[in-house]
Amino acid sequence: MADATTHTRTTFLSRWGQILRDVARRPSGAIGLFLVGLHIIVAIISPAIVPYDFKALDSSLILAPPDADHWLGTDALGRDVFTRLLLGGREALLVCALAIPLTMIWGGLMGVYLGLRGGWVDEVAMRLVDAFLALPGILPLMVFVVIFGAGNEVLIPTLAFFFGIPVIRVARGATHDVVARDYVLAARARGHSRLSIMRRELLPNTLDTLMVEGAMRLSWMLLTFSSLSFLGFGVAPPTPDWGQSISEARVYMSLAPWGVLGPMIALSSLIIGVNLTADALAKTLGIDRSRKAVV
Amino acid sequence: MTAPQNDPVIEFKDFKVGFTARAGQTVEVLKGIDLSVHAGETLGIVGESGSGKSTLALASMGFLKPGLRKLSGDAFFEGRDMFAQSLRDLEGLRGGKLGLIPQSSGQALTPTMRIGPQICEALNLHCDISPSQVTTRAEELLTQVRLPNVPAIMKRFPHELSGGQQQRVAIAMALAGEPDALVLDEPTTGLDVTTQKQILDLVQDLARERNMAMMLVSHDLGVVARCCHRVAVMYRGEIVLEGKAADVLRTPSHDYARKLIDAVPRIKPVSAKAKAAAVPERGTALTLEDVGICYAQPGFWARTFGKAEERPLTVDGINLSLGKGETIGLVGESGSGKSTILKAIAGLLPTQKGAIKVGDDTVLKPVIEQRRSEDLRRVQMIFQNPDDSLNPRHTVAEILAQPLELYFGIGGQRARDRAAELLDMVRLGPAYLDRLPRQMSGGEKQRVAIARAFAAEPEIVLCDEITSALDVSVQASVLELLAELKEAQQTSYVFVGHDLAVVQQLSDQVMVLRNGRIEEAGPVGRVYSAPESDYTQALFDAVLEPDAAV
Amino acid sequence: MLALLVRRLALGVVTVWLVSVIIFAGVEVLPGDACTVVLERDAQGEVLENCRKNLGLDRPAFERYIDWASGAAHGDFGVSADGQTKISKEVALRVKNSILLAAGALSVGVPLAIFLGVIAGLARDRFADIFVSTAAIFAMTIPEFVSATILVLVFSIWLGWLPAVVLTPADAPALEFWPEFIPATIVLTMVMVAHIMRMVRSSVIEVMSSEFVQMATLKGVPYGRIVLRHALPSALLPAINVVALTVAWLLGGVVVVEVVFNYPGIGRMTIDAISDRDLPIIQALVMLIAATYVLVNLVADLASMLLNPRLRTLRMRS
Repeated sequence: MADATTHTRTTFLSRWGQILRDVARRPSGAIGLFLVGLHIIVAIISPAIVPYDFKALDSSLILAPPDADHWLGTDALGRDVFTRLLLGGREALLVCALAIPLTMIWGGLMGVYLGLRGGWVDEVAMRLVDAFLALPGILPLMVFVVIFGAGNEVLIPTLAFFFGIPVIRVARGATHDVVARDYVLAARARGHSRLSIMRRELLPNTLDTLMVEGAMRLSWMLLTFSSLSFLGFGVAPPTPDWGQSISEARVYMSLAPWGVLGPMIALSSLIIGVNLTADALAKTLGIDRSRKAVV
Repeated sequence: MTAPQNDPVIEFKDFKVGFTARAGQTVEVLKGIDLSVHAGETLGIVGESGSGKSTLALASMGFLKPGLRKLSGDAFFEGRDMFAQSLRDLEGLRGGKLGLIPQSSGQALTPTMRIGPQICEALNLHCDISPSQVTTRAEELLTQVRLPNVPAIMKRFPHELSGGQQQRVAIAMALAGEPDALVLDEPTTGLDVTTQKQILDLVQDLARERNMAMMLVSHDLGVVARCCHRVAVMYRGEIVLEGKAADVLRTPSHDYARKLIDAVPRIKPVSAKAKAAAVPERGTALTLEDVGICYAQPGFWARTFGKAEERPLTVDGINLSLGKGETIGLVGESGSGKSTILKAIAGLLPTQKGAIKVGDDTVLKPVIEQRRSEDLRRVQMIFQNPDDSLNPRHTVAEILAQPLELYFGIGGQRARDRAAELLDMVRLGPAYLDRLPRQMSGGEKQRVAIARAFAAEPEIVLCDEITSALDVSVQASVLELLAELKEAQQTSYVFVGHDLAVVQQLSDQVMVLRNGRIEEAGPVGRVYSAPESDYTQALFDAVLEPDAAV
Repeated sequence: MLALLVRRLALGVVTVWLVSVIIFAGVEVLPGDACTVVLERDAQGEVLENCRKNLGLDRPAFERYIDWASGAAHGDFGVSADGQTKISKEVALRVKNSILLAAGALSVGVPLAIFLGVIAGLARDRFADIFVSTAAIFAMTIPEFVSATILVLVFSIWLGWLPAVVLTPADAPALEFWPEFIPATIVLTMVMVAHIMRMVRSSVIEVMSSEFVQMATLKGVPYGRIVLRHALPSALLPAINVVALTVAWLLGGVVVVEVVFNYPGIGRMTIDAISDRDLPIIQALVMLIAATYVLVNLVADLASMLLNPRLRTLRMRS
């Protein structure tokens, strides 16, 4: 099997390489990938290039307008806005980059398994999924944060768990489309085990849908993370975060609009970038994701 | 039949259609078509998939699918250039003087509109009659296409009608504008043979009554032979041969056309010898004893709260005994249960009663999970649609390695060598090892599927309409391959087909099914020469052959 | 058809029941209860036990679930953790305000979304489509608190046309929220229009390339009539379910927008309850929101069943 496996790996990699190139060739994909790439680079190098310490207070410079020393002015505590802007996406990107793979693995595997398994297990599991989907948006997350704190060790698994539930549904639906195909029937008729069918037939053929779903969930997870942070349930101060900065700076918006503009543009451009990429990926793979609603 | 001569109703002059490919170059789909159809005449256009015949048919109505455009030449209807008409004039002509009968009316009728309003809409658009007369006229039209209980049909939605009824509604709709010409785009594809015959009879009668010009596009040479005065054979966007139906179909003067026509399987007269020949006794390969199957498996709720015994059996009372190296053909119209039986033998559908035995004594358990791997190996299945039966993400080598690894534990280079041998066996060769399914044609894919089945060294191969998705010329070579493999490996086939000629070519025994019960069964020679049941006789009568009396 | 209806109804009931179990069990499993929250540091020894006895927290969980669930089924959620407020009464006020906000957004948003979606779908890949679709991506991805902030910055602070926050108390009559509830409605409308519009657009594109639309063209039906009579009835059916999800979202989860504009609806009440760790109120609100979600989706499913001829005419055994 060694030979065939290496071959699969190369075809797999070359296929996704080609898909990435196709995504980059679309206008939306090019803009999206550029924005996402820019944010990742800034997130990685920002600690080395920021001009000030992000927690350094300067009581002489409260809500100071932009000047040569402080390019974007200072906030209500006299901290440099530009420094906090450069650093403000790190937490969101870190948490979501770790939580999204977990989300897709748990939701994807569960959905594919249920789609193949069917029967009472599927029926019971889907009723539970329905029930969890009925729970309102970010409220369960806020409850978890209030009780266990806002550390990454709480946020990552919690986000992954709740975001994985709609993924179960999507993966199960995609599996149902594949299970009815003759090549899966053929594998069943030969007598392959369920695990082997999942690995060889179902996962490779639901992967496209799951990748698009993952990219889309990533943009919503970033949105959720920053909303939590905006509402005061996210990153604990003084760690800089855009959602939190916006929430703080809004108060002084009429006096010092520079404090709120930077983080708003940064946060929006990141989420739009992820979303444009997801959109281009969906178009490249021929998957219509606009039909999936707000679930 | 002789074709009356007068001015052409539909006429193409050096007509070219194409699209712009990704790289920017223009690809021609129709490469300079010259053709005419006269009043009272039916022109048949035949060709394999991708020959451009449907594009041509729709172009006669001034319509091209999105992405296609006219490159040069003209298409005329009653002297009017169809690609120079205003939209308003086109709307007047389409469905008026020039009617279309589409391929599958199940898809072509608007699902959210009742039949009545759809017919009345056509009448309102194209006939100058008072609103009070519209309903009466619609009822007349539906009666004319021989639909029963017209007032009730008018209130139905399209999905509530059978395929044949939907096709009749489409015909009535095309007749609403009192057309001078009809375009028929594969009008009977997907219908059962007996329904097909009725629809063709109806269309022919109407054409004669109204002296209409008809352009009939079909991949089925039998259909064309039955209805057409003249026939044009299309190949890759060109008309390679055109002439009187009898000449074209009996003595084709063009290589491709001859190949195409020769490839169509025909029911052969049964010789006296074949009738008498007894099947040599070589031991039993497969036995079915009073098998009953219920197609609709009870869901979770029904199993928990319902009473299982209330469900009627879809298929019942199936007895069958198949010798080693022998083939049995299962025939019947859609819904007769022939594929259901195949799935039950494969274990994909559990049997409700009866027994399935492989060899002399091994009884197969009703579902796959309970069967031993060795028993599973002995029965392999080949599916109808090769586009669907190969995993699109696996290379041919990986596809063939799966049964080798599962049944014989062969992996690595040995599996690859064996896969190459198997590819040689189905005449593809090792060059195909690293191809993906989408890099192969339908016929090549079906050969890979056959190789995969034979990789298990099976005793019984189940073939589910395995040639019906293929073009006739490809079908012929696949059938040849199957016959050869059977000779070489002493495999038994259970062959499901709807084409009686194909079944005859391959089978020793035949079983005619109707509504899930055996209508008639016996040696091919006997059933084909002297069918005992009226239903079997009707099936034979409905068969259309290219060289039948034109 | 009847069997389908009954099954769908039963599923709704089962889901609501499961939600109630999840919520109750969740609160049980999480550390702390109403007494530890109210008593804070004093929550130990005799004081804690007395408190638990008073609130009935010393009884077995199963018994308390039955009490809570049967109360909830009658619309009685008991009192808040500090024993000050009767939950149902306070909730009723907030529900009224949330409905007001939802109604405002829906009455403008749904027709606008359908109109834009149809236009974009018909003009596929042409200027109108690209413009509307791009705008939709922005509208649905920019966080609500960002668009709200921009709105306030431009229209309230710089131009002074709109009030920046709601100052009207929760128990004021609906009319008094005019014009304070306009900014919140605008932000919500933007998001929901984007979602519904995208769905309608792709549905219109799919239906317009279907065989029956091609057939209608070749039957000589004029374009306008094709769109209105042949295409839209099929194309708009799937919109029902998206609209339902939007309604559920508007009635339940618009926490961020309500906080930004200080609007006294369900969302604000929930976040206040969470900050106060007022478990009885959280339980009641989550239950209410989840039940609304199930009910709205149920209604949508039934509606599309009744409007879709394929399902409507489905006999007991197809």
